[in-house]
Amino acid sequence: MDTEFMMFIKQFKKNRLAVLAFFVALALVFIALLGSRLTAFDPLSTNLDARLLPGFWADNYENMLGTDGLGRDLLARLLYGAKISLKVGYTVIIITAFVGIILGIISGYYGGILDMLIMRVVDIVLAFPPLLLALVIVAALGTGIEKAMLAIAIVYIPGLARIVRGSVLTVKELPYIEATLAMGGGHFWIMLRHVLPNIITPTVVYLTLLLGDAILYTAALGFLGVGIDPSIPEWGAMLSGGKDYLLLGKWWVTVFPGIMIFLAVLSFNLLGDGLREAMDAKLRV
Amino acid sequence: MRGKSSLFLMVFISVLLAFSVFGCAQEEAVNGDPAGQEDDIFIVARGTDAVTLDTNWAYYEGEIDLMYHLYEGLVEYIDDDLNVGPSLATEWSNSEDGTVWTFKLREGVKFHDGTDFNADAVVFTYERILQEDHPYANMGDWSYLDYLLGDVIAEVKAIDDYTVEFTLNNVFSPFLTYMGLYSQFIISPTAVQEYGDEFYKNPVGTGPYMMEEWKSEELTSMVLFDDYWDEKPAIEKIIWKVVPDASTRMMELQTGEVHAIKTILPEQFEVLTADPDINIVRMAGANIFYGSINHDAEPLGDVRVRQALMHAIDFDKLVESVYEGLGTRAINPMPPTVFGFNDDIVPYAYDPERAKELLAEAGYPDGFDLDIHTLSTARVYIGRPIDAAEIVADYLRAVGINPTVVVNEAATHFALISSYDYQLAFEGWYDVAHPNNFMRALVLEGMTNNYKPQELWDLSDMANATNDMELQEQYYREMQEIIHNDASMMPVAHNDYTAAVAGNVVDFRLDPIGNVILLGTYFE
Repeated sequence: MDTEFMMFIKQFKKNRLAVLAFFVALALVFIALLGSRLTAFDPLSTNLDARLLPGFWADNYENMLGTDGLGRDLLARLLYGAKISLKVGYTVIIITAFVGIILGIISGYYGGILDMLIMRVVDIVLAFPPLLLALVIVAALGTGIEKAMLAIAIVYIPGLARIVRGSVLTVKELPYIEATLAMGGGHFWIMLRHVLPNIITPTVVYLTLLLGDAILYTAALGFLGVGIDPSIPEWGAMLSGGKDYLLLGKWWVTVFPGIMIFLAVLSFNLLGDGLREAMDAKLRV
Repeated sequence: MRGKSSLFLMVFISVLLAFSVFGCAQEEAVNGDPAGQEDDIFIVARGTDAVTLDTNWAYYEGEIDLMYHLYEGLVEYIDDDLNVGPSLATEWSNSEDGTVWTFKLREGVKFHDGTDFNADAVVFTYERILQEDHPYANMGDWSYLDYLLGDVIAEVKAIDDYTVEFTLNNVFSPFLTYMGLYSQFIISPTAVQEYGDEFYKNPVGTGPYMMEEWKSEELTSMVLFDDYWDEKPAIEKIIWKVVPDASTRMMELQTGEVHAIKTILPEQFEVLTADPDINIVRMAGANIFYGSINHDAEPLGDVRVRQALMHAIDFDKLVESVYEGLGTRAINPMPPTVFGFNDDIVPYAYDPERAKELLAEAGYPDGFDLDIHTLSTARVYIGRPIDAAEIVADYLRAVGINPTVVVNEAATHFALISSYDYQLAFEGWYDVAHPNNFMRALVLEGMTNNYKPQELWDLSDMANATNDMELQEQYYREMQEIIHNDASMMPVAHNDYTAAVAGNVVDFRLDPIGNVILLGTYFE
C-alpha cells in the first residue's frame, strides 16, 4: 500500500500544472475554512455611503479590493464566497457519489430489465443540456441554495451512474467474482467488497472534475439570478450583480469574483486531470 | 475534461460577443449614420415593441407611445397635470345632475383611410369595446377602455352627425380626464370593417402620423398624414426601433445611430450627463415602487410590526442609492405630482431603536423570519429591484429580523403575489396621473395584500361620485392618512421617466405616464 501510494505521488509530481493546481486548491480550502477570520468586515452589511469604492490601487487600504454597488466589502464577500462555493461543490459531490454509485452498481451488477430501466432514464437526463436541466429543476423545486445544489447533483448523477456501470460490467466478468459466488458470497457482500474498490479510480476522477463544474454551475445559476439569495456572497451572483457597473469603469465588482471562479474551476479541473493520469499510471504497473 | 472545455467555451464566447458588439459599432460608424442622412426622419430606440396597434386594446408599455401619434381622442392633455383641451371635440358640457356629457365634434376631420370623422365613428369606437355582442367585439385580450369605463358608461349616442352624448350610470369624476387617454381614442369604423381581426396590424386613426411599416420586435415606422386637420408636426417620418439591451441603446445614441433613447438606467445617468452631445429628458413619473405587505402572513397582521418595518429602513438613503437621483422617495400610495396628494403626512422616521421597541411590544423581541420577494429585472418604476431588496434586508437584519431575499422572474413574481403566497414583496404600479388610478385601481383593486377596509371603499366611492374638486381632495387625503396610520403598505419611490436625446433635438417630450411625444419635436 505504501509503495503504491508513493508511486502515485511520484506520478502525480511529474505533472507540474497539477501540482500547482493542488496548492491553489489547498489555498482555497484554507480560505474557505478560515475566511471569516481573515477579515474584519461583515460580508452582508451594506454601507450606502461607501458604494463602489475602488481598492488598494486607489490607495484604499481599508477595503483592499474595493466595495460593491451596495457598499459591501468585496474582499470579505470573496472570502465568504469561497466557503459557499466549496460547500456547494462538496455537497454536490456527496449527493452525486452516493446516488450515482448505487445506481451504477445495481444497474451493472444485476443487468436485465433493471439495467435497461435505469440506463434509459440516464439517457433521457443526459439528453438535456446541463445548465438548462439545472434551470428547469430549480424552477420546479423553488429557490434556495440547497435546491440549486440538488439540481446540479441531479444533472451529474446520470454521468456517474453510467461510468460506474461500465466499470462494474468489466469487473463482474473477472474470475474472482465467480470464485466468491462459488464460495457462497452474497450479492451485497460482493458489491461492497469486490466491486466497489475496483470502481473507485474512475469515480474519484469524475468527482474531482465535478467539483469544478459544480462551482461553475452554481456560479451560472447565481449569475442568472435563480436559486440564490443575492445577499449571500456567492461568486456567480456577485459577478452578475456587478455587470452593469462594468461599462462605467467600476471593473472590480465583476473582475474579482470572476478571477475567483476562474481559479477555483481551473485548479480543481487540473487537479482532477492530474489525479487521473497518476492513477492510470499506477494501474498500468 | 468536460469542465475544462466548458470553461474554455465560456471564455471564448464572451470574447466573441465582446468583439461582435464592438465590431458592429465600428461598422456602423464607417458606413455613416443613417440618422444623419435625412433631417426629417426621427429614430427612437425603445426596449420593447408593441403587441397590438389597436388603441382601444393596447396596454403594454411598448404600445402607448405609438398611440399618441396615430390616433386622437375627443379631448387631449394640455399640460402635465392632465388638464384637458379640445381635440376631436371642440366643446363639451355636463348635464345638471352630472351624468350626461355632450361633446360637439370637429368638422372636416378625416381618418387615414379617407373616411370622415363623425359621431358614428365615436359611437362605433365605444360600442365595439363596451358591447359584448358587437360584431367586432373581443379583438384583443384586455381593454383598458373597458377596465376604466366599462361599468361607468351606460350609453353612447349620436345626436346628430357632429354631436355625441355619453350617459353615465353615476357621476364619475375622472371621466373627462380619462377621455384624453389613449385607450379612449377614436378609430376608423371602415378600417375595422375592412381589416377585421387584422386591424391590430393596420391601425387607422385621425392622428398626425399614419402607419407605414411594422416589423414585429424590430421597428415600427410612421409617416406624416397629408390630410391632417391641424398644423402638422415638423418631423416627416418616425422610426420606433426596438433595442432590448439598455447598454446597446446607449451606445447607439452615442454613435448617432438613433436620435433618442427611451429609458436610461440610473448607472448610465452620470455618463450621459457628462456627454456634451447628449441631453437628458426627465419627467416625474406617475408611478410607484412599493413593498406589498401580506396582512394575513404572520406576523405582518400586527400594525406594530408593520410600523417597525417602516422605522427600521432609511428610505431616503435607499432611494438615493438605488435610483441615483432619478427618483423621489414615496410617502403615500400615489405620487406627489398627482392631485389630492396628502402633503401633511410625515413619513415614518428612520429609527432602528423605535423599530426594536415596536417589535418587542408586538411580542417579537428576537425578530422573525421574513421572506422578501423581489423582481429579477428592471421595470418602469425601478431600475434595480434586487439592490433595493438587499438594502431593505440589511436594514431589517439590523433590528433583529431574519430576512431572506428571494429573486423571482416577473411572471412567477406576480403569480405568487396574486395568490397571496408571500410576506413582503416588492412590486410597482404606473398609471394615469389621476388619484382614482392609485387610490382605487392600485390600493383597493390592484394590490393583493388582504387589506381592504370598508371605509377606504366608501371614501373612494364618494370621491368618484362628486365633481366637486375640494370634496374629492378631502376624501383622497383621508384615504392616504388611514393607509399611513395602518402602515398597510411600504411606499418606496417614484421613478422619474427618462430619455436621452441627441444635442440637436428640440422639444422631445415625455408625458407623466412615461410616453414619448414627438408632436412638437424638431431638429435644430
